[in-house]
Amino acid sequence: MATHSNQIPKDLVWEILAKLSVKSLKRFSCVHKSWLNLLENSDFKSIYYENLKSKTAYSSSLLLWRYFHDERSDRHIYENEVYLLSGERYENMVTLVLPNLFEEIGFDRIIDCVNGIICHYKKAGLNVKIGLWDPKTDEHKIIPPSIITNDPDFDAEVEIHGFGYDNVNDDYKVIQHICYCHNEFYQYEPALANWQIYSLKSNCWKKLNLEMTEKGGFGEGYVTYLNGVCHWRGGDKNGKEVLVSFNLSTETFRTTLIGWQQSDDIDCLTRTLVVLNDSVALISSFDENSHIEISILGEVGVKESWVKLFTVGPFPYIWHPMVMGNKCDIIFFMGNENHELASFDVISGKDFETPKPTSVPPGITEDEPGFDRRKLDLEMTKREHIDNASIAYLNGVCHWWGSEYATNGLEEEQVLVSFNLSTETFQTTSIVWLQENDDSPIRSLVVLNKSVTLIFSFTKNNRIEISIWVKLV
Amino acid sequence: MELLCIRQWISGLLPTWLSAWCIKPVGGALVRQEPEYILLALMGSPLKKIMLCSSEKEIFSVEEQVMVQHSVIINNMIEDGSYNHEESKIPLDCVDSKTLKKVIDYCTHHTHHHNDNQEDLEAWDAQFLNVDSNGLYDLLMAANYLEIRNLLDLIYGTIKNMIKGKKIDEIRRIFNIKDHGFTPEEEEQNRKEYPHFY
Repeated sequence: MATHSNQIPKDLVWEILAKLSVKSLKRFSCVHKSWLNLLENSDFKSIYYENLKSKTAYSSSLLLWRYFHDERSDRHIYENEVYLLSGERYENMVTLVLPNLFEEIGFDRIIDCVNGIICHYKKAGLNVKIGLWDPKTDEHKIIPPSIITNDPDFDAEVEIHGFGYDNVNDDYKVIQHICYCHNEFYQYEPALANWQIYSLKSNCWKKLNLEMTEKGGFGEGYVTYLNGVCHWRGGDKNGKEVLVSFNLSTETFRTTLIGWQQSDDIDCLTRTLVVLNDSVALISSFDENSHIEISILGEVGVKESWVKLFTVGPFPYIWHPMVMGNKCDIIFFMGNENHELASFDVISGKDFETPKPTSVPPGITEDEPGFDRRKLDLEMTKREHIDNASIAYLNGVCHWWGSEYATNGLEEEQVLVSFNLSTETFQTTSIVWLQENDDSPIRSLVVLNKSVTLIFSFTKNNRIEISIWVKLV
Repeated sequence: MELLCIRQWISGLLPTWLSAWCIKPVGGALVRQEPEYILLALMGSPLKKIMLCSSEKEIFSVEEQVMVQHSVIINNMIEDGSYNHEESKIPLDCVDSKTLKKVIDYCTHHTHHHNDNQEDLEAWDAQFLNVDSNGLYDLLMAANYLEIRNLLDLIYGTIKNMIKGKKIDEIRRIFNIKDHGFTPEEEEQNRKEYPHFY
C-alpha cells in the first residue's frame, strides 16, 4: 500500500478503524480530517458497536449486589442481596450468602469481585472487618486489622477504596483510607489521615505516603477494577469530579478529570463506574428524563479522552446498581415494586427507542414451558409474614393468613384467605378466638388430617393450642 | 454386492471433507448419514470445477465447492444460475492473476484443512499474509470484491496490528494518504498539541 497508487476505499478504512480502541481512534484522528470525530458519525458508530459487541468477552458469570430498603417489611430493614448471574440470558440467578464477619448488627457491603474472589466488609459503628471470600471453594479469610493510631480523642474511620489483583506480583490487594475524627468536636484531623494497602501475600497492611482524592460516596458505583488497576471517583479539593486510578503493582496513581460541558447535570445525576470492553466507563443516568449516557475513558490521565459512546432511554424507571453485562448491556433493578432485574441491550437501544428489557424475576426462568403469569384482578389480604409458617396448601386450595382492618375500621382482625387454584376465586374467613389482647401467640398454618389447621404457641405460658377448621364459611 | 460393502466402497471414494458432511445432528446426537444418499443427492457436483478468469485473461480452474464456501459473490452467481457449468467462466476484471492465485490458494487451504487445529491454521494464515504492502492491498481489494468474509477479517486484523502505536506520518504512508485534509494551520496546531503522535 505504500507505493500503490490507489487508496483504500473509505468503507474498508472504517472497517479497520472500527476495530481500534477509543484511545487509538482519538490518536489517529490527526491522520486525516475525515477521521476526526468519527464516533459522532452514526454510520461509523454502527460498525463500531458491532465490533464492540463481538469483542465483549463472555465471562461465565456476573456478580450483582444491591443494598436497599425493603419496603415490604414494616421494620426498617436494609437488605443486602448478592446474586450470581449466569447463562446466556442471565436465566440462572443464585443468591449468595456472605459469610458473617462478626456478630454485631451492621452494614454488610461488597467492594468488588475480582477473579471470582469477593471482597466484602462489615461496619458496625467503628468496628470494621474486611473479608475475602471465594464462593466456589467457600474459602474465607478475614483480613487482619488496619494500622490504627490509638488516640483517645480521635475515632478512626475506615473507608475501603478498592480491591484487585496485582498481576505483576500475583497478589491480591486492598486499599483503604483512614481518617480520624475528634470524638468531641466532630472535626477531622487531616494530619492523621492516611492511605493503607493490604497485600494477601504478606498478610499485612502498609501505609502509603500518598495524597489521593477519596471516593465520593459509600454506595455502589464509586469503585471499579480493571487489569491490575483500581479506579474510584470522587470530588477533589476544588470540587471537581475526578477519577483516581491506582496501579496495584507500582502502587502509584493517576488522576483524570471527569469533565462534562453540561451545566444542568449536577442535580439529577447519578453515576456508576463500570468496565466496558477493557476500558473504564461511566454510566450517567439523568433522573429528570431517565436517559442514560455511557462514556468511555480512552486513556487514563487524559481528560479529553472521555468519549460519549451511547445515549439511551428514556426508561420508565431506573434503579441502581447497574452492572455491565457480557454483551454490551446494562443490568439494573427496575424501580418497580417487585425490584425485578432487567437487562437492556445498549447497542440496539441506542436510537432512543422505548427499551424492551428482558425482565428476569428472581427465581423464575422464562424458558420454563407453559410458564405464564397473569395479573389477577382481585383484592385479597396480603399475608402477614414472609415465612413459610403463614401459608398452606390443601386439595387445590392455597391458604394464607393475614390481617386486615375490620369493617368498623377500628380493629385489626385476622383472616384466613383461601384461594381456589382452579376457579381462581377466593374466600375469606375470620380467625376468631377468645383470649386477651396482650397474649401474642406465634401462629403457624399447617395441614392436619385433611383440614387446614392453625397452631398457636403462646409465649406467655408456653402452651400450644391447635385449632382445626372443619368448615369454611 | 451387499449393502454394507457398497457403503464402505462409496465411503472409500469420498474425499475426507465430504465424509465430514455425512454427519448431521439428529436430536442432539451426531448421526452418520448414509453416504450413498449424499452422493446421489450431489450427483457429480462435489468435484465439479469452475473457471475463474483474471484481469489478465488467465483462466484458473478451481473446485466449485471451495469457492462457493468462501465467496458470497461466486456463491450467488452459481445459485441464481447465471453461471453455466459447461462453457462459462467467471470474469474477475478487478483481480490480477497473481492475486487471484493467492485467493484461490487461501480458499482451497481453508476448505481442505478446516478440521485442523486453530494454531496450525493461524500459522498458515500468518505465512500466507507475509507479502509486501502492494500484495496486501491487492488481496484486500480482491477479498472485498469477492466478499470473502474470513479473508477480509484476517486482513483487517493484520492492518490493525500494523498501525497500532505508529506515528501519524507512518500511518499516512501505510494508507497512502497524500492529502490529509487539514489546513496548514490545523496541521500545525495538531503537531504542537500532540508532538508525541508525530
